[in-house]
Amino acid sequence: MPRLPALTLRIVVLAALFPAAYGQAPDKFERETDVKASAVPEPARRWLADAFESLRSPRWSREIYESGYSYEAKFRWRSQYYSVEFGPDGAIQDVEVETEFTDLPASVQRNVLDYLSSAYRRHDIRRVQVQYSGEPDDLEDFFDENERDDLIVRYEIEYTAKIDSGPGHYREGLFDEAGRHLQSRRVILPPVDNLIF
Amino acid sequence: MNRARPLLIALLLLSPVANCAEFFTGLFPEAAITRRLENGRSLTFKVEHQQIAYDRDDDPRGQFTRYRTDWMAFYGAKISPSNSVAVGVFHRIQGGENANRFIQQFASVMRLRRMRLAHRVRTDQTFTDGEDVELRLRYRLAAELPLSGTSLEPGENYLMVSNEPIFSLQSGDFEIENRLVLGVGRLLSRDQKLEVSIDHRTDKYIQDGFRHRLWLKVGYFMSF
Repeated sequence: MPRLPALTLRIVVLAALFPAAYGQAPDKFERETDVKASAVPEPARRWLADAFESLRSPRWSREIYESGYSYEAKFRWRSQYYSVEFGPDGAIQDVEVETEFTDLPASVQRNVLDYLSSAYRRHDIRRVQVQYSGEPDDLEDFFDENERDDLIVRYEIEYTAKIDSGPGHYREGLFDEAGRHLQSRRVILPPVDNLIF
Repeated sequence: MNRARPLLIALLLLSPVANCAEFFTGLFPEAAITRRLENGRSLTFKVEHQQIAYDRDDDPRGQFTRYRTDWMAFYGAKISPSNSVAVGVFHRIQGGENANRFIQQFASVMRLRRMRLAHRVRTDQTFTDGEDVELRLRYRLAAELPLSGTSLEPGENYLMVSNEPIFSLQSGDFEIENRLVLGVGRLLSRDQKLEVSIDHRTDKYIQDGFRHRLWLKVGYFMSF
């Protein structure tokens, strides 16, 4: 068996152990369960009521992932779908707003498409969310007064990607405000045999 | 109890319609095992068994008798993350009416915000001793809705509903069948699902002898 040069071997091992280091995060693992509003920390409910004053009853869930858990409120507001994430203590983490890819700034679209074209043989964008994060007061001001100071904007984009001759798979990518690729990971879906056989 | 409620409601709603036609009911266990191969290819083996528990007519089939057992094998290929094609063979064991069938299908599974929606278009050709070949065209629309959260994770339950009209042609006679399924399932692990459902089948809409078949279905699905 041919021996790999030490440096190459080290890179392979590091890449396998730390996929995020080269822009490929591990497969997505999240577990989401619905919870009643009363089970959500009070600061989360209060922040949501302040930022989205006319909002009635969002759907609350608890999302468990590798390193902890968070609370999430999902709702439709002014014809757009929102997903607001809070920490275990109810502190706001980020707000995601679903949008059309063609509604993103032209330079962002161009950078995202450049990345997808260079990384994959074929791709198809399925879902786009603009992700806003920052200080709780800044986030609140953005949604109730449309002031966008000191907010971090990122784009979470779900797409199908084909690298080789296989059928391809679903991926979720995170891009910065300019549309530069930060990381992406494969989305693992449950089997569909009961639906197609 | 909450999980079983939709099934009980379906049984109650469907039972009155069975009064005016041929009707029988029973158990319908099914199991499918899929072996994933390279490049999105797959092999699926499936068995379905229909056991009559009650036949309203004074019929020699009697009660608690085997109606039929179907064995199937499919070779499938994903053509994209959401679309796939498959071809299959089928053998039916049914007293005096054993049959063989060729199957071709295209399926598309769409990921929506809160559910998965699957379209399946199938054609098949059935060969039964002493009968002309039967040609069928089928379209099934199936939805799978997680009962908690927006995506299905291992250990979580889901609601499943599907409907499939089937159009057939045999000896120049056209016929229609419909299959409506409502059930609950559980994603046992990343590769296994268990479903309990009510499967209501109606057929002979055009020819004489309109009939209902109502099955309590228990399905196990595994892919590895």
